[in-house]
Amino acid sequence: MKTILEVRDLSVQFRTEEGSFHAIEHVSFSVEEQKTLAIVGESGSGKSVTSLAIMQLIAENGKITDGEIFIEGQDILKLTRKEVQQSILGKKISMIFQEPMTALNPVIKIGDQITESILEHQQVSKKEARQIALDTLKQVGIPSPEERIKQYPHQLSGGMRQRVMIAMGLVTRPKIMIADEPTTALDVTIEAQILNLLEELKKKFKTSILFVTHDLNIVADIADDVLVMYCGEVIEKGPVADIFESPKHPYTKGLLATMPSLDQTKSVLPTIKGSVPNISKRPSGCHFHPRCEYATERCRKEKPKTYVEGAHHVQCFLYAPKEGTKHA
Amino acid sequence: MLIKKNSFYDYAYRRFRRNKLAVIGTFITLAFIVVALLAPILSPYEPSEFFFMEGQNLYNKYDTPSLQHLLGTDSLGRDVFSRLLYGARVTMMVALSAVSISTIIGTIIGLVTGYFGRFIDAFFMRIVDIVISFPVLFLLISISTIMDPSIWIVILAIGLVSWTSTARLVRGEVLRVKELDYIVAANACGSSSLKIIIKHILPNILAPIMVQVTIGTAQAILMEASLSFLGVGVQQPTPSWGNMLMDAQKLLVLRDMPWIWIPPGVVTLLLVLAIYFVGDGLRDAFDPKQ
Amino acid sequence: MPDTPLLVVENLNKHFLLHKSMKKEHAVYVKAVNNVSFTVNEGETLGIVGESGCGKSTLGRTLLRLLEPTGGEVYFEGKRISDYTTNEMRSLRERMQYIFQDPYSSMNPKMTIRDIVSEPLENFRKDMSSEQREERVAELLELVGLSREAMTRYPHEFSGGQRQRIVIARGIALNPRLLICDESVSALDVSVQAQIINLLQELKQKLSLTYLFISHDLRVVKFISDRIMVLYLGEVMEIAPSSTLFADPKHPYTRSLIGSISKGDPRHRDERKILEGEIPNPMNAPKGCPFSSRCPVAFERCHIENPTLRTVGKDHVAACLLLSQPMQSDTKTGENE
Repeated sequence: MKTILEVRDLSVQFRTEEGSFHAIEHVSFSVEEQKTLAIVGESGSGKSVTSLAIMQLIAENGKITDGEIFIEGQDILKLTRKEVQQSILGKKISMIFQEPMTALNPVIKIGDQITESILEHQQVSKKEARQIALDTLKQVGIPSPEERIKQYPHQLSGGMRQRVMIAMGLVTRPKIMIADEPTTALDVTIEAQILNLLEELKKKFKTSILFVTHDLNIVADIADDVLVMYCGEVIEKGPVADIFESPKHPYTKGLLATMPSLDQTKSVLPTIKGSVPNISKRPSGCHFHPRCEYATERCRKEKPKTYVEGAHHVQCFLYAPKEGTKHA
Repeated sequence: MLIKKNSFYDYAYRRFRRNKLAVIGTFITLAFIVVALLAPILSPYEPSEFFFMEGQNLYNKYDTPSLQHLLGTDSLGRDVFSRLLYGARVTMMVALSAVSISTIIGTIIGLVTGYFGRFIDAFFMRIVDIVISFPVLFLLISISTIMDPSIWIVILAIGLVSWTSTARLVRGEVLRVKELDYIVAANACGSSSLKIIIKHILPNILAPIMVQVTIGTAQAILMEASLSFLGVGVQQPTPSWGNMLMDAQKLLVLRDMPWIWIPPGVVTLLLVLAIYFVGDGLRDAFDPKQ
Repeated sequence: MPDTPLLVVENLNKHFLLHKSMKKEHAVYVKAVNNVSFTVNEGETLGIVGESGCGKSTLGRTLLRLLEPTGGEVYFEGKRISDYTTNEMRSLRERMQYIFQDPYSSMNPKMTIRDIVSEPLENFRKDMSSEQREERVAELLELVGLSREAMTRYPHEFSGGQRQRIVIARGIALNPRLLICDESVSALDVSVQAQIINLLQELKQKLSLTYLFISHDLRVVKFISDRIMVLYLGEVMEIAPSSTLFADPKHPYTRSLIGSISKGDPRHRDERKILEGEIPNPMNAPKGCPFSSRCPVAFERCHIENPTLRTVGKDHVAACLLLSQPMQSDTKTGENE
């Protein structure tokens, strides 16, 4: 299995009025060809920062302080800004965002926006580009694309706009598409359509998907592998079946238990006590220890290493090696 | 101390302090205020005191700066430096009074039209249109043909013409804030319209009003200077920076006697600039775009 | 529980006029809430669920007269409140309260928590001295799981979950009988959502409250509600007890909605059903049944006639032509998923 994206030890720092803080630290993972990796976490987990860092879209006051990002084996952090813009962004890797209204230019017609991105990366004539745009719109399930192509973003519904964004992302046949909470602002029935569309397109164009979300239910439906983040770190990762059937980290377990499911029988929902700490006030040692029912003194003082069991990695002392277990 | 910790104003105050230009502007403005207040003590002479030439019966006009007269004397033989200090009082008093009038009127009208809307809004906005189109200069010139405009007429003229920008600003802010959830929540809690305007709307639009006050003050100073320069503002013998500049209308003075008009010009420029720095600083402190 | 329902809503309308016209037929309306009827019994939680444009938030605000209804009647505690004057409504605010969707924007950022929570008390409990009010605020904060020190702080100093607790404290300050919660947990992290849901349940028991719980999240609604009402484009599609709605949904829209939800289990991922088509713009609602443009089992009459709510089971009503024709629903049973 070819590895399309590999991230090693990525760290990003932000400067604020109150000082500098690490939004994410030592994040490592990889995405194989035609696979979907879901990054799941709550606010402050760093999941969005991770995806933005890969696309080199970090805000002015942030910077990548450590780590490597390989796209098809090439370390893109070693390339110049221009090289990245010309050959990587939009071409090998594209991104779709949560709020298509702000990601699409409101004063330019849909058709022009798509053809613009085609012309950027392909040597075709304007007429050919228009045809490619029409075909792609059809492929993402937009009815009467010839009419839509002349419309402005505000004339389309949320679901339609998201399809247009996906069309724009796919038009260059990227190897991997990053989706940052693309369905959070959509209704349930439309969300189902969009997730289904992504699955179909993934098979058709052999694209990998990096899907960032806070919703474990979406993860259950679309992911091959899962990365769980908390307070800027990867605390668990593994195949989706492992994560859901035998979650290891207390946070993951808590998160799975706390979501009301359709066959919930208890009258009180299990909760994780406390709340997600502020980026400037992250606890020492294991960031989760103040909320963890298994926490020990060691958890407060030391940061746990990552312990491995097959493809399932977890960063928690509960799984520290007794004889025989490897650790990363 | 006065500002509650971690409140909006606490954060704004800290941001303001970090802004060097704003802090410099504040000190300069405060210095001017202190000087104006202490004018009687600091001034070597009375502003209307006439001086005679050595041993003669003639007024000591247009004397060059010396130890007795730090900035020389003006066209009537009065000490320029003293007039400058007293002029500070007059100019600032006119500006501050005018700004107070325009802010109070503008805020009330802005609040009422913004909150109640419809007919009241339509009515007052037409009045704003009329007032804006009104030429202040001609008004004052007309008045001055009948009588000498007293200082209060000047203040009223400036104040009654400048309230429109405050009104428009306040109205815009009220419209923005009116639809926010916490106003609807206050309604749902049973609060009356008056309570909502005073407790909820006003505190949340205070920041832009404060910035507007600084701009308004600077503009009032410049307006007074222009009016007095043209002779329809503060009348002699009361000194103001504006009417001290009036002497510069004579070519001789302009060319050969810079000590008469450069000082009032420079201090006006300095004070206005300082006030603008404070205004900018306030604006950035209240609304940082990180 | 007494027999008279606490809240009775009959054919409630909230139509927004978009374009005036000399000819009445040409005027364009957005029928945000159209012909909505339901009851809420004391002590129960009625969940109101639906997607964009279904009118659930507009409904909540119209019930409290924060928006003026354009038609229909609302009865609260047996009295017709839809024609109360502003003053009469104001006095009703003690007994019907509303918790907004976004806890941050529903609090005045310049006020301290003490002032925010005490505002309803200042308006209605003029008999209380300011010390008594302060004590009550402290009590309320503790009731929602915050410490009394929170009183001197400002909204921006708190996390999303804490802010939600504060607005809940404000909502229960006057011991209301009915509390309308509009998407109260939607903006929260999953781990915090559960805490707030538990809090709402706890408060309902302690203070004998009745809830109208508005949300787009079916799972949360199922967990917290006794009965559920499903809205689509401003109209009621189905009302049933929670368990019944999920065990035996009758309306095609409800079935599609439930089918669209993820099972939350990777082993069952293929069971998610896709409902095609877009949610129509409320300005261009389909003729006849509002769901007819997307309904998988619609036939010609559906595009002409708008079905009314009929009883389809015990305490179970739905508005669908298929269900009000006893013969056809028998033959179509096999086709319903």
